[in-house]
Amino acid sequence: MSVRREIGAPDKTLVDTDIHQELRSGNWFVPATDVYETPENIVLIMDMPGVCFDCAQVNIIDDELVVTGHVGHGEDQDDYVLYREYDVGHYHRHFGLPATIDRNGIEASMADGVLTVVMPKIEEIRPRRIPVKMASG
Amino acid sequence: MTNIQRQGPQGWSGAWDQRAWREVEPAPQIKRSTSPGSRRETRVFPSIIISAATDRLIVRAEVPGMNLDQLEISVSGGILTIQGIRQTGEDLVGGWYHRRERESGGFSRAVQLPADVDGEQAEASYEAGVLTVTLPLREAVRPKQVPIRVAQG
Repeated sequence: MSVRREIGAPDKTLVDTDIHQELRSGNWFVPATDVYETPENIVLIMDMPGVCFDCAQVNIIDDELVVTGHVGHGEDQDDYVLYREYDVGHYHRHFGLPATIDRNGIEASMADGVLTVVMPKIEEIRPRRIPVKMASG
Repeated sequence: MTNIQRQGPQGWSGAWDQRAWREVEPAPQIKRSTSPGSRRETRVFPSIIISAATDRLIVRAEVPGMNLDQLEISVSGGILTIQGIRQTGEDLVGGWYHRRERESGGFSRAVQLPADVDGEQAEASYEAGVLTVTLPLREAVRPKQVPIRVAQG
């Protein structure tokens, strides 16, 4: 990756707010997400600028990982907006959860508007080294 | 949006549920207003909001996950410059990405401010991935109350 490359703004795709009960009021966006896999874990990282560390929720509902982030008030009340390039809004996204994830071991943390969810794989499918024993005789 | 990069060793994903990390779609609750793949290629980063109060301008920018050592803000001649480097990729050893959507790299943005500000008194804060730069207006451009005198007679 070339340092100093111009990068683009996060894609704030609007979430349709008509159907989901929880999503009825306010602006909702799909957060940009990275998902990577290591031998032990699957890690999900989401950009949620404006969401404080205790304003994000991670739920497992019907084998889906459901992530919701609420933003507080975007602008101070006495501010008058002169120029606007982005909308302030909440975040919501679902992902299908594979059967190979240990549901009880999932941990989430939030820092600087970035949510990290670490999902350990179940023990049975983690890579392991099988010791080679010297055969006797 | 769905630029899934399968960089891992072939067959690894075969051990996994192929439905995993496909986004749940079409989800009954969520629709996209734009179809995947319709991302605009030429976008500015970071996006900003400029607002005004009686004695200051406020510039906000969404820059989640920044290392503050890599973020630089300066004011000169009525131009605010925000530049930095945002690193999002992990250097995975023995791992691989299913999905990479978070932008990574260097950025630089210069904004002509719409009023005369005192750059010496500018302050910046960073909270929950949102950068807020507060720029006090110079006395000369602050709003002034015009007294109304009652005409005699």
